[in-house]
Amino acid sequence: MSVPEVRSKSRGEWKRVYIETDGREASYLGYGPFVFPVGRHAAVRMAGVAGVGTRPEFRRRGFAHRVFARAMEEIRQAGYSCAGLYTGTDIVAHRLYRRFGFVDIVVHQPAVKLLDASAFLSLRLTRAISAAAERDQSIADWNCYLTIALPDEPPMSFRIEAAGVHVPDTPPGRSDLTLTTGRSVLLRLCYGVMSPGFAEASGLLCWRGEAEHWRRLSAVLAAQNPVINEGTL
Amino acid sequence: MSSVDSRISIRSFRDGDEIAAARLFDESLAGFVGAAPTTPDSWRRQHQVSWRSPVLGEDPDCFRVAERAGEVIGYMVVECPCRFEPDLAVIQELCVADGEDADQAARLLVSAAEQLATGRGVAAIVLHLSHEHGLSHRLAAAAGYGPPEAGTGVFMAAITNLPTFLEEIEEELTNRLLASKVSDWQGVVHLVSGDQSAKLLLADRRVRVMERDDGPAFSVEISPEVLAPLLFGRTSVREAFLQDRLSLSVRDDPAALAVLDALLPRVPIYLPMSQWW
Repeated sequence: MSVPEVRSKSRGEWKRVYIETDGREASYLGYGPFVFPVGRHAAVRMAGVAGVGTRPEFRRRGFAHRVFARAMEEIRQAGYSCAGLYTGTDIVAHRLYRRFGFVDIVVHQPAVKLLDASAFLSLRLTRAISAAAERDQSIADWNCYLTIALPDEPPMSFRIEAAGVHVPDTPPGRSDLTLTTGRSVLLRLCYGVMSPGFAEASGLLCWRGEAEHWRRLSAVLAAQNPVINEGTL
Repeated sequence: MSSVDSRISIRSFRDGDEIAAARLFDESLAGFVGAAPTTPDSWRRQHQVSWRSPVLGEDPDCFRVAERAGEVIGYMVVECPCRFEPDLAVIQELCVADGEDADQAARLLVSAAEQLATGRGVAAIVLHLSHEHGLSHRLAAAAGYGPPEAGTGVFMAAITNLPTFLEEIEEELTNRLLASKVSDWQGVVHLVSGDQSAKLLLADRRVRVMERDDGPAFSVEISPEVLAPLLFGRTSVREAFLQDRLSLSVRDDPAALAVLDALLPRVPIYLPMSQWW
């Protein structure tokens, strides 16, 4: 099988580097010039890399590596003093970027406030449970009264059924699973950036109730894709 | 939609407010790495075409200004709801003028964003501000925002041409030298990192990148993984030195370390979402 060549084309100031197979781009990225300040008196000309991707059927063939190598060569040849990109620390591409000399400069640290904790949790949990239910019938069939207790707030009740999470109109008077934790931990769990097992083992979360319900909820939360910044993908 | 304090009022953005917004943006972020200086035109352009920010003109409630006696003293941009996380609103920019009303203006702007989010059925709100910015840090804590979460979104950079990079920041390096206690130090500093190297000539209270091959007063070996963090002010020379990721050809020379400290200090960073690519 012949190895497809890496190509490059201009789109205004932007360059696109890609490998094409059967008339479609299999692996690709773009880069363009940005002025990046370094202090009060100077700025550098940075090649901003974005839209990095490889179609799933073409992964694990070294395409992304070859596209990136070509782009970095072009960036050097074009006289850029540096290159920058936005990504997530939890995706495979992060390792690829490191191989080409990229290092983490700043990890974004957003501060979060829950305006309506109950609505937020039912939305996030519904999303996580419905995704998990597609792969696991036991989650699709799961029925549970869940209570979440945060400091300085009345406990919140949820009903998990039919792969969704609802806030009951009246307190159900029972709880199959009760979680006690802090807001920060809860947010991390909801966004998939902390594993339930870690939270439990570290004493950051306590649960009481039926172990099977905790097992299912842990599986749902642990299976989430962490929130990442995909740039202009 | 507006909320009123005894002295400060909050209102939606109007044509012409970009003049104050650009000034406030630059004043708030002067000296930060990463936030490109703006003009009224560039500020408006960034908020008309950014793929990541709310678009000025389409949703005026997402752009609010704080006014005192007819003068704009602050503004805020909130993405509500967030395009990629519809259950979140994101305060992307919040800039207020220095002064005794700064905290109050900022709190009122945040409160306006929260009201907007609640009114639109958004259940959580994120402050995407620099935790290295004093006011932002105080504000987040005072307004009930959780401590900054170590997220997974990251900005990465690579140095592709060390001499060119240093040439581009010569003026900044000179100003840093002049502001230091070693402004009269003279000599050559040879920076080596992996297969890249460059020489800096410090003479006559100026810093220049040298092209000729004069012998160095001292050379510095920098591990490639800390080169970009050092140049972008994300790690200090002492930190890299203590971690054994930076070594000097001259041992026990406090002047050499002081010169490097002066040239490559730790600097706060902020990457406004309207300038992401």
